[in-house]
Amino acid sequence: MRILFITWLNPTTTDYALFLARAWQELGHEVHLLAPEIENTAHYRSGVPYLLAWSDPLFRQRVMDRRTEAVACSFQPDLTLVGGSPLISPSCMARLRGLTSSRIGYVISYNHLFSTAAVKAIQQSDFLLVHDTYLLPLLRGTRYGRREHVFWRPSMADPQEHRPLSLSAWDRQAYGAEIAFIGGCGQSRIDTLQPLAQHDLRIWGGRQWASVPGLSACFRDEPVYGLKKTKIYNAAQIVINMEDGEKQINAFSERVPEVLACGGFVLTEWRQDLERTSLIDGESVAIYHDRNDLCEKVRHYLAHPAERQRISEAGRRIVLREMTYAVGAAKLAQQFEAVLAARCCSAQPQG
Amino acid sequence: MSAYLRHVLERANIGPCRTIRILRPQQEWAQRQLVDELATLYPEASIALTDQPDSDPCDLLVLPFMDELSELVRDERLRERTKILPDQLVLIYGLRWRHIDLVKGDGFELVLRRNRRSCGLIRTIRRLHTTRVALRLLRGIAPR
Repeated sequence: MRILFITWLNPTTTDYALFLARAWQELGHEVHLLAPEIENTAHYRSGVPYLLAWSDPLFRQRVMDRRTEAVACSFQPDLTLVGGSPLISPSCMARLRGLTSSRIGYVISYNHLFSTAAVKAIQQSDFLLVHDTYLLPLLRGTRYGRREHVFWRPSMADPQEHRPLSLSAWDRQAYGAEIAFIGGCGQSRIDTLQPLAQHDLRIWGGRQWASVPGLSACFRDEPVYGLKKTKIYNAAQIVINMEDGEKQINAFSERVPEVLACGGFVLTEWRQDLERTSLIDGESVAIYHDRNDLCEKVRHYLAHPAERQRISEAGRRIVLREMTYAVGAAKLAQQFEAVLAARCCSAQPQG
Repeated sequence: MSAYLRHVLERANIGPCRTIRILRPQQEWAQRQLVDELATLYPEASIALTDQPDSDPCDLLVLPFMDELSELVRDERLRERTKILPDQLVLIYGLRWRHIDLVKGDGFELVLRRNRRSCGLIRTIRRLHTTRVALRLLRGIAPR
């Protein structure tokens, strides 16, 4: 298959699109990753249009529309995946059908279903790829604007990126907290983390953390991505994974398999999709259900390093067996091939 | 591994890098981040921090900035006295938002010149309160 994947490669979240693309390439598919972060070269970023107007969503979408059409014409994809909210306009998605014979999939990472752009993108799509299983029954169907083909992209890890490391003394000093949290700042996160400030808690994320009373001293104003994220997952005694209910309902973050693949210990908020995995609370992952539970479990696991070790080793085995991009990408590729086959069948003359 | 950095470098198809020099960023974590990331990608390479980017020939010169590209324009160590050769491969590395680009030395000079001009122009436009009008115009002429 030739897959055109239009997506953000945002350093503040996971590089899931990059890992998926690489896994598909290793399966023999041809993938063109079209990401604004890569397309916008320094020449472009140093110019007036970028400096003045890139923050304007309509301008950004217009730029991406034109680039997408140019790439699609030369690459002629079988399949086009559109991510973001969305990164290209619905009218561009429609034009792609005329320019190529591609089937178009809309990738929904956060549940922004109430935005007009998302609804229009769903209407223009042949299939959907969602991260939250909560959306599966809402979107799957043949009537009322639903889509017949809705696939699930579970949380996965890349063992090349997320792996055990031997850390230097400096790394241990800088990243070896009792509790590490990486993520943006929001009221529920502030309320949840404040009681943990009595421990050696370190927070990496948005700069708003610097002005939160009681937590500002825990904040490290240092961007975290790539190798450094892997170091934190390796060095911290406990990595907290806290979800954002407005973004996702059943889904859990990629952070869970990523930390486990590093041989780290993750204490994650409960989410229903965890039950779709082989991970079991207290055996191969640690799960908390509310703030009091979180505080108790933090105390417990900090006091029991051998138990942490046992859980992270069991979790790592499960992740490497079942939750890697190599495994997930193969399943998704099979599902995409079914969409392409369905097109071929429907294109055959009847009788 | 930093899959993103590897992806950008592979995409540029730059070939082997035996010597890498990094314009020393202020923060210690930034120095270590750059050295460690590049050492993971090029384990055989000789990697060192420098304050004189034109003093030592190398296969790859890394010029980091924290938030804005204009920080490199203002960097004393890259002023006129410093001559980056036209053929020198330069990795521009925006640490905050992971803006990573590869250019040749003459391309880098162009980027700096363009940024200097753009910043001046934008200050003027903002002063004239015509940003909204300019935005509408720019939507119409959005570049490829």
